Amino acid sequence: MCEVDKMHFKVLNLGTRVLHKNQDRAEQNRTWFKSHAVHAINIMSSPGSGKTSLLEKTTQALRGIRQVSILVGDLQTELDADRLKKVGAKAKQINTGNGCHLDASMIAQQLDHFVTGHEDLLLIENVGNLVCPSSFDLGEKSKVVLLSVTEGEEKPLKYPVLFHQADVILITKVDLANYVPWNKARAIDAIFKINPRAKIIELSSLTGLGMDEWLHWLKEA
Amino acid sequence: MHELSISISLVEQALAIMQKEGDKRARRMTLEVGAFSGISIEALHFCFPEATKGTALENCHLIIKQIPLCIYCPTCKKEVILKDPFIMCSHCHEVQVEVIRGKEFNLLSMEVE
Ligand SMILES: Nc1nc2c(ncn2[C@@H]2O[C@H](COP(=O)(O)OP(=O)(O)O)[C@@H](O)[C@H]2O)c(=O)[nH]1
Ligand SMILES: [Mg+2]
Ligand SMILES: [Zn+2]
Repeated sequence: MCEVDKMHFKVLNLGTRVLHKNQDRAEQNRTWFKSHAVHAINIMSSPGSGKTSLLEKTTQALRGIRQVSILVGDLQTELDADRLKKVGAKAKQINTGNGCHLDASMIAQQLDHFVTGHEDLLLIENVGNLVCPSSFDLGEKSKVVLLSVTEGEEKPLKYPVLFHQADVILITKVDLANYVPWNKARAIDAIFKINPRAKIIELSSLTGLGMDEWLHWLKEA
Repeated sequence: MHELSISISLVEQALAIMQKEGDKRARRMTLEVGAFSGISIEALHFCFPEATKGTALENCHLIIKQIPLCIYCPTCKKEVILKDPFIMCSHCHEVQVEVIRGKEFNLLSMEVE
């Protein structure tokens, strides 16, 4: 039996990256962004950490100053894009259906269409999830990860792969820091263990605290 | 859980390879998955059989080689394997280290006929 098996079966040595399709597409997107001088930013966090609220405030702050388009990933609804349009954003929802993350081809479909190439900034709100988006490069230049004070300080240790990738980590909802058990030193320590190179900005979309620093980073990055 | 969509794309890739090679059936597939790849091996084992149903990969045995997270510490001047996913040298606590292994997610080989 085994002999026969051995004769029939052959081994294919492959050594290919499983996600190479996404990676290739992401590189094409990256090239497109570069040649159009569009700074693309992939914004990730758990659901409810304040991504859409931050984008609302960012839209208002940059109106008339910078050309911004926003893509929002969500499983089903158009709610976030509607919220953003209400404050005057050029925003489009990408429904991922069952998909728990955006991928590079979803972004590619928007290039030369919704994303014209005249933008200074393309802000991409990923699906609320700290696991899946970490495996899917979109071709962005920067990754921003939000951590709200209501989520506790341990999140970076529980989701190290995503937090490790962040260029910027925004500690959001700091207006609530005094009302919840939030220990800033422990949070900073957790971030440092996973990603010592990340820039950390403390921010509140509600009070506007930290917005200047965020906008400054957007301008310089 | 992205392991289902990943499994589906893995099966598609494998089927394309088999079609090119003219193979009808796959008996074994070997992957390497890094501890810092963001891919859950457990979830992959769970989702892969689902994704193969009704294809030439049905009943294909999935073998996964785990690759530990490994950094290079410029202070100790050596490679260090990390048990925890904290990107710092476990000997000297240097944080300016380079991840050299552990992010892999590769299809290594298949046994087909
Ligand atoms: N107190 C406070 N609440 C906030 C802040 N930012 C967002 N929220 C609230 O948190 C909830 C989720 O915010 P949202 O922007 O939709 O989060 P997303 O799921 O990450 O897009 C909403 O009820 C917001 O009003 C903030 O800075 N301070
Ligand atoms: Mg949102
Ligand atoms: Zn060391």
